[in-house]
Amino acid sequence: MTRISENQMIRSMVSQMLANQQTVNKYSQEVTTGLKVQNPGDSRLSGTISQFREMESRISGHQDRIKTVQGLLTFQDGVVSQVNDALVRAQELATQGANETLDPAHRALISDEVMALRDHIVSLANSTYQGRYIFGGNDDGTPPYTAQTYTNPPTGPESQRYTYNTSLAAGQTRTVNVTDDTSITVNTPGSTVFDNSIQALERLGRSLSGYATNPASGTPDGTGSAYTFPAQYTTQTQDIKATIDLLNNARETDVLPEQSSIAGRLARLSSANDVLTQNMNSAKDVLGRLQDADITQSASDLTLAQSALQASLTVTTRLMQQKGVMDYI
Amino acid sequence: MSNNIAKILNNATRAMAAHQALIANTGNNIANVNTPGYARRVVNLQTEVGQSNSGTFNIGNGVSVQSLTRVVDEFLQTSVNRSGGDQAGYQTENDFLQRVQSLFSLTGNSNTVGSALTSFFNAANNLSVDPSSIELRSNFVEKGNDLVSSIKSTYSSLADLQTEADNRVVGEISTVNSITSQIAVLNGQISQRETSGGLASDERDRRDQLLEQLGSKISFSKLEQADGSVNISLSNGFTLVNGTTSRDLGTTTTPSFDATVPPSLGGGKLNFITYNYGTSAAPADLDLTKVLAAGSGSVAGLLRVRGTVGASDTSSFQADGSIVAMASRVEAVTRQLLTSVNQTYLGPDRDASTPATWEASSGDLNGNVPPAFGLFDFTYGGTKDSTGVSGLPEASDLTATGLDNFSSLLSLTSTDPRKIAAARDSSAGFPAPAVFASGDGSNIKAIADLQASNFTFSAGSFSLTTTFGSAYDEAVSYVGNKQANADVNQKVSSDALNTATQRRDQFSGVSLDEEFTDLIKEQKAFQASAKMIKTGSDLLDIIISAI
Repeated sequence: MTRISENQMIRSMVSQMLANQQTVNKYSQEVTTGLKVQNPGDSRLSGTISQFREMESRISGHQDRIKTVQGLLTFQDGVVSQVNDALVRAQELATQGANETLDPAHRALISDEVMALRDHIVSLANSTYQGRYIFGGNDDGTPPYTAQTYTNPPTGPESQRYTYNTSLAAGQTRTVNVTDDTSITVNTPGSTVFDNSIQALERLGRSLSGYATNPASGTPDGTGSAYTFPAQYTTQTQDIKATIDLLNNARETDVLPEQSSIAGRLARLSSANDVLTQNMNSAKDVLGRLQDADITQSASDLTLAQSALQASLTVTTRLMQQKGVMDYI
Repeated sequence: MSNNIAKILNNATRAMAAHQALIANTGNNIANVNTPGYARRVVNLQTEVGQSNSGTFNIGNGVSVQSLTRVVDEFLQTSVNRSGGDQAGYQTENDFLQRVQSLFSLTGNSNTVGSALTSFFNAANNLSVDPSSIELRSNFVEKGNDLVSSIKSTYSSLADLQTEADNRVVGEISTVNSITSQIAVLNGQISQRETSGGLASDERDRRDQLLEQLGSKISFSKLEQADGSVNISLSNGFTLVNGTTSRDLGTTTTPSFDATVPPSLGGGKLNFITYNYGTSAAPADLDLTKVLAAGSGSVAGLLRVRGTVGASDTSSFQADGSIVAMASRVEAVTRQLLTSVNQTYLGPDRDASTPATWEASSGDLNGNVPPAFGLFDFTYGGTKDSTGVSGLPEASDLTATGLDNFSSLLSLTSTDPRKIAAARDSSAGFPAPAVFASGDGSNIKAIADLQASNFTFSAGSFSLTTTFGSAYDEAVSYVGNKQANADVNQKVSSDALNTATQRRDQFSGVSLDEEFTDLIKEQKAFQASAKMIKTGSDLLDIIISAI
């Protein structure tokens, strides 16, 4: 015959009650946090969970960065496309100016618009994004193009000669990581995009307003004297004609390739973003399976555990109230 | 014809006396229903053997109390002690590991070392997009600070836990001493009473209770002697209690057998559990730490998480123990930040013609190059860059400081956003003066790229070659498995203790129903005996009135 002693009964009731309370606590935490694994000890796969959580936050960092880089490149794309428009307009003006029916005074009038286009391109090249010069290479604190002077004429827009910052840093580019294993160049030194355009426009503007630019080809050195009319009218016409090719070259070898390079990088960013989104989804999926609580399951487990606790409390109370031999004496 | 009236009266008196004893015992059982360690007692009755009457038959001489028995089963008691030790040990271990694992939480709501590392590298990557942005530089400094503070707080929590475990070992050992000395006193009382033929039930109850308490602290073996006393010894044969003498264990951070005890995680020293054969002036300590760590009970549980030190250990990270293992992992990350990450931060050597000196090729917005411990630094009064290549932070520089841990001393070199060296020299190269362009993010990108690089993380006996992220994941996995194992062990041992206690209670515990049933039975018998006196007295009256 099994004896049941007082202590044995109470001990077993209490331990059952505590066990049930623990279960209720566990499931209620699952339901409130939505996580079945909250601490490393809750799962044998906690190392994997930690790895995926890290991956998740790394990917979200990449995605945020891609947005910033997209903004930066889209801005550059806008700038370069405005340069392209300006160059197209300049070619029209050059063709117009080269027409020998115009006398030097008329040509000088066209020069005003050409120099305005030059200034526009210079201001585009010196444009800032979030307060920093984007075409200055790594030297983003100083304007990439600064004005020098020509010896002739001494004043006016034609006297201004714009040259690119000569520091080494101005020629360097910046690459940034956009995924774990892809990095992308986010800037282009302005000299490779704007130098030829600005120089061609300067040559054109000066020619139209009656000044030769030395040397006759290549980078202007700041000298150049006024044409003498009518003797040098033909030279002026030839100089104007020469700039048509220069403008064309600048557009085709510098501006358009830069535009397509930016477009290419934007496309890479968007495909990188697609891959990241996919990776993010699969990381979320794995985490969902490993760490997230199945709320329906947890909620029903909680209800079950609560009933069990309720039952053990009821049984405990009943047993405590149960009459013994003592009550009949 | 013999005088049976006298016999009637005598038997009734004896029976009343015997039943009084029974009722008193039942009363005592009821009174002690909730007394821990109380084993119910049974009064054994026997028929009284008297002198033989002349004549052919002998009417009995009534009843007397023969003895008192404590209802105990030595085997059941031992299994309670043993499973109590296991349970207490695993419970202690689990309690500590639960607190350790919360430092490596997976909920994503707390600033763990892992999340801080990821944010730090993210911030470096972001800064490389726009290196002259003060906002992004501030963000990088903030994330660096978060990383430093998460490492410091994780490490100091681990160190605190180790100190707490160590303090509790000292407390537990003093409790053990108090228990063994009480057992020795009870041994004396038991042997004194039992050699004179009695049964020292109360003393045995109290001793069993003390043995159970002792079992929850340490594992031991006991041997009961013929005089009723028990001798207690540890698994290596060291005697704790011998008859009426007990030996007090000591705890000391300066044992005679180990002159160079390494520091603990928190910088103090771990206590050894010893027995001092000598005097306090000239101690001859016997090391019992590892013996107790190998056993069961709360002391073993504490020693398993706190760790025990080997004779040749010089660093706190060489001790075994779960807390030390986790602290080693954190420290290993710290050391890589101080060496490899700082080295990358300095950039390549500008002047390779002087290999003994490292000329940093990275610079900040103010145009300055960073110091040797350029990004991550540690608080130390002496020379930090004292060995190897001058200007380069190396593992040997850390060793040369003589510091044991760097995690608690970690800091950022500068919290000024302008002083973050994001750029690398863009001059034509040495000997031209270095030029640092504000928009150059190549140096900070090199830091960001370290996220995918492998390093050998090592501290103490821990060594692992992997990336920063994976090193943290391994730590999470380690503590997770340790805690899950401790949890399972605790549940199993808890069940075993429950079962053992149930079985003992089943056998030795007081059942009120049973006692009350006995009480009624005994009371009836007492009443009947009293009635017999009345009957005897009536018989005498009849005889007297007949005269």
